[in-house]
Amino acid sequence: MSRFRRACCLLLLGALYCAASPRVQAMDIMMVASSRGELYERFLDTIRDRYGTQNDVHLSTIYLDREARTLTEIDETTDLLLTVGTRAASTVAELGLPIPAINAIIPESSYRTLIGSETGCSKRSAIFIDQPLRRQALLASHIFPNARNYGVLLGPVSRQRRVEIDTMELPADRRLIVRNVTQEENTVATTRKLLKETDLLLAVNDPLVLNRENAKLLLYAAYQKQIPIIGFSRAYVRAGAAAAVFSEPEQMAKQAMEMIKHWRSRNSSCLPGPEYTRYFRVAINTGVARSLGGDDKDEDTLIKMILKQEQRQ
Amino acid sequence: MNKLLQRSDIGHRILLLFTAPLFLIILSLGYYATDMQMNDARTALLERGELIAKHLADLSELGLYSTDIRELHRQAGTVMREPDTLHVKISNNSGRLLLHINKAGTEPRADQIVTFTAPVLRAGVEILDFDIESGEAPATDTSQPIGSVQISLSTAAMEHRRNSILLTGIVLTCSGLLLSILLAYLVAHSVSGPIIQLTGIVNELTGGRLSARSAGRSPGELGTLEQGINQMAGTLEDTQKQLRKEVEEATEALQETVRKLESRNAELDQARSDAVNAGAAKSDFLARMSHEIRTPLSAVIGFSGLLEKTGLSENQQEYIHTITQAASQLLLIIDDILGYSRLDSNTLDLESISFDLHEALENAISIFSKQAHEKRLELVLYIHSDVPQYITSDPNRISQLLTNLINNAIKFTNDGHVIVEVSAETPDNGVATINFSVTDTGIGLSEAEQAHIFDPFIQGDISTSRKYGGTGLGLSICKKLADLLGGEIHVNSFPGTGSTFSFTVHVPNEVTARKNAIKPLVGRKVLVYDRNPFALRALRNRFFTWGATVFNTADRDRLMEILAADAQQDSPCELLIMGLSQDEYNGIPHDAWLEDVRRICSAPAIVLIGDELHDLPTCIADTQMCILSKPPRSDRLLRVIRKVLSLDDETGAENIATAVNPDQKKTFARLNVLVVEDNSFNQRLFDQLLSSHGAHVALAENGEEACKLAAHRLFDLILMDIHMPVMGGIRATQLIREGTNRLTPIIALTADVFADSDQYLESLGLDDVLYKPVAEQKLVNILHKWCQLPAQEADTGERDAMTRPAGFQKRLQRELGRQLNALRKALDSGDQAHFADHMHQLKGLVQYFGLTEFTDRFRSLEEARDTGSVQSMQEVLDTLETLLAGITPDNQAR
Repeated sequence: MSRFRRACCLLLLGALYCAASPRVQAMDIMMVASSRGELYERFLDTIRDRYGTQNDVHLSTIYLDREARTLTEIDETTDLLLTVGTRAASTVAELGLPIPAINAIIPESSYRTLIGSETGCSKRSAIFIDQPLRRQALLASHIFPNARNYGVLLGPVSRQRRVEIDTMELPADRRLIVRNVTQEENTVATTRKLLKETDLLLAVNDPLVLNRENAKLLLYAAYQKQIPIIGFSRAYVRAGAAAAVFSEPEQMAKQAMEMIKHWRSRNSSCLPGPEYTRYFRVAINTGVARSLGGDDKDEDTLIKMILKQEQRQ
Repeated sequence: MNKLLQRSDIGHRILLLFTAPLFLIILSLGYYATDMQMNDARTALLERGELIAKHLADLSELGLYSTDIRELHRQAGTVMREPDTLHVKISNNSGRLLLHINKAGTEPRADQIVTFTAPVLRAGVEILDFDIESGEAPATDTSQPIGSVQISLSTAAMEHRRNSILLTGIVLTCSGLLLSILLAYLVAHSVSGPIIQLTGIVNELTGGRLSARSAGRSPGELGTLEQGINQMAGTLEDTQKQLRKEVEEATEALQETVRKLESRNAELDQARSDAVNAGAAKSDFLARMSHEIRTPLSAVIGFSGLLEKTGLSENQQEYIHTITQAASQLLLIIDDILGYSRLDSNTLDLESISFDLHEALENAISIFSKQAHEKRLELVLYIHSDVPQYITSDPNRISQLLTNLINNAIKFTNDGHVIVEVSAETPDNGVATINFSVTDTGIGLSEAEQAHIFDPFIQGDISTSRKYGGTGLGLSICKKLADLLGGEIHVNSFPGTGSTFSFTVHVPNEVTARKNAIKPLVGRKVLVYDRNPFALRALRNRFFTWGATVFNTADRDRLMEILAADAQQDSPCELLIMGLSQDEYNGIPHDAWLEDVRRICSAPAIVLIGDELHDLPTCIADTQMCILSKPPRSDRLLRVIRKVLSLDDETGAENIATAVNPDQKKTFARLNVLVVEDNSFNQRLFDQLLSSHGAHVALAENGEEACKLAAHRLFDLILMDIHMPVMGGIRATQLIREGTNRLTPIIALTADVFADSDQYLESLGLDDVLYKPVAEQKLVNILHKWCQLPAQEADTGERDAMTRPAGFQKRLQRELGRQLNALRKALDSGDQAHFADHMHQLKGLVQYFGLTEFTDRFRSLEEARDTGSVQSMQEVLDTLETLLAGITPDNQAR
């Protein structure tokens, strides 16, 4: 084929490709962080590192801790708002902007409070900081396979997760015992009662149920009863919990970008629905776990096992 | 500590030095360890109590927070199970006691309880990785107190433990001390023991017990030391044995040598004694022989001389002359023998005095002038201008040497001349060399004869000995004298031509200040004539040294020419000196040539002729011409020159005779002479001789008689024989010196070999010596020297001492000096009696001899004495001594 013809074919193919491909325009993403805290910076840095090399995404960042502003930078050119932290999410929500917003690193309870009873296509979505309780249960089943009765203590904040708790699928032969704690009740006493009924405790992030003041006591009470506690942070494992599942800001950022990609690919103003963190890490207090009769498994193995079970679900 | 160490022996020192630091260390460590353990026990209790309290506080957190008393009790129960725990109290934050547990059955004292309190803190635990609001890692939560726990522990166990620690510490310390003492003792003993033992060995070796050895077998260096000392002791012992053996052998040899030496010494002592005795005997024999031979010989010669003057026939004259000649020859032989004997036996001592060399030379020449004149020989004395006036040496030995050579020269010369030449070399090394030479035109010597001429008893060949006689000892005496004077003697001779004998004398190179500085003829024009070139040169040199402008010639015709030309000069010559030989002189006024000379030159003239008749100068009246024998003495020549030139004559020297008849000999008229001589012949001889010269003679047979005569009468001269019976001459001289004649010249008469040095004579009180036999001329010379009176003197009985002969002046000066010394001593010791006595004696001397310069000073001394001022008297004495020192015979004679 002559050279001229070859060139014409290439041009034609290119035009057809461009015509066939959906138009990908540069997207302006405004990231609004509650502060410049390490948690948020690590999240934002991950986003920047990824999107910074791409020409189709334009990032902007606003920090709310020092910049008392009315977020005038957010205008019609912003394609997406990505809030990091509860304060950023509530601040953006108060603006009532028609711009889609993904609220990352926000407790589920806080998010539910923000969106209220909103249903259908939402221009808001979230990536919860919370870990799904099932994940904690799966972890507990792998480390303490003999524990059958899982206890959960819910407080005013964590009570909103009741639906999740009620609908979650436990590992085989496991029973979940849930108790609620009110302001008036002594958490320690309630916990002691629960410990009598259970083989294992699944800790949820509720300031009334579990805080830095009573955490040691709860750990001590549980340890006294030989009841392991499965937590939701590395710090809790260091404090004495037998094990925990948690997500790092980089993982949450990754999940946020996947959500954005998925949203862009759909070319819709509706964002995907809120999610628990998809990616997680596992921390084990081997001393506590062994002393409470737990199996000795490494963290990566546990992650794989949990993921496998979650995917199967 | 140092003193303690110094007083201790080595063992104790090591022990002390070893244990002292150990003690200190052990005590320090023991105390430190015990104290530390006891403190640790208490600290452990306290720490344990705090730990228990804190632990309980931590454990009580749950119980206190939940107000769970059972929990609290359970926790407290675990603490109570501790044995020391007495009680536990737990209180809430408001101080309300929630729990109190006591241990039953314990009632400790209050001082045995220690209480610990710890707050119960409620510390939060972080359960989140990040704060959801800030996004930061959660901050550390501060703990809050919710109560306190108190526990009490008993200190009984601690006290018990502390006691046991203390006891253990003490026991260990004491054990350590004891062990260190034991160890130190063992070490000290192991070191000091061998050293002490070695010290003992060394002491024994030092004390002489060289068989001492060390038996120790110490290891290491001590063993090496022991072996070394043993070896050293062995070597010492062997060496000592060897030395002892050698010493014994040497002692035996030495004893043998000493015995031999003692024997030899005894032999030597005997030989020495024999030699001394022999020498003494020899000296005595010589002296006796000298005296025994000379005495009669003196008489023979003397009386022969007297006899010669009496009217004798021609034959008798000839016989007497022969006798005189024979006796003179015998005398010479005896003199030679005695002189050689003294030199050979080294009994001659050299003098070292300052003397007038020029005068000594002229004296020596004058002795032989008559002999030379008799043989019609020209006798010349040529003294170079660089010869010092005064030298320090032995004048008598030099004169003896010179006279021997001159005597020989005249003896062996029949015609021609004998020239005595003296020169000097004065290098800068402080030693001057005086060169004497006697040159004659005599028979000469062959080389073979010259080789042995200085050997004793050698006199050329046998024919010479027979012809000229003599002992052959003269030149050997000259050689010995030259050697004695530190010089050398040489001979240079040709047979038939003549000989030159020369010798050198080394003398100190004295400052030339005393050289003859007299230049009495400065500016004077003098014309000198003498046919003999040597005599002419000698005269020219003499006038040159006197400062004159000298013209000279040895040719008569030339002299006439010079005189003619000189007469035309504006300043013609002022003095004409003419030296004539005997064959040239025909007597004044009969000499025609002299008359011609006087016609041309009317200047004062002095004729020097070679004859003995004019030994005293004679001036021709109205002619300004004087005659003098040659060679002329300088002093006499100068006096004649002064006379003819009408210069001032400062000295009161001998008279210049103006009488035409030179044979007048009554020069010693009015002279009082005492002759002390035990020999009657000699008495008569001296009497005749002195009387012939006009002297008045007193005779004494011995010293005692002499003293008696001298005590009552003042003499002008005393001739004292030395060896006399009853009282000898020396003793008599000493006694006479204490009396009236203490200033009278006393001349020793002796035939002995007599030390004639001035010091020796002075020590004996003598002034001069005349050797027997006494020749008339010698006697006259002595009279001239000691007694010459001025030509015109007032007969006042007082005589001007300073116009007396130099010898007398010398005596007077000595006496004045003696008186001044005595006055000084009396003044210093405050002896007024002696002072007055010597003042009286001094006054007598001053007045008697008219010492005018002393008179004024003496008056000052008297005035000072009257005032009693010692200082003034000393000052006057100083002045008198200075005055006396400024007056010398030389100054007065010139």
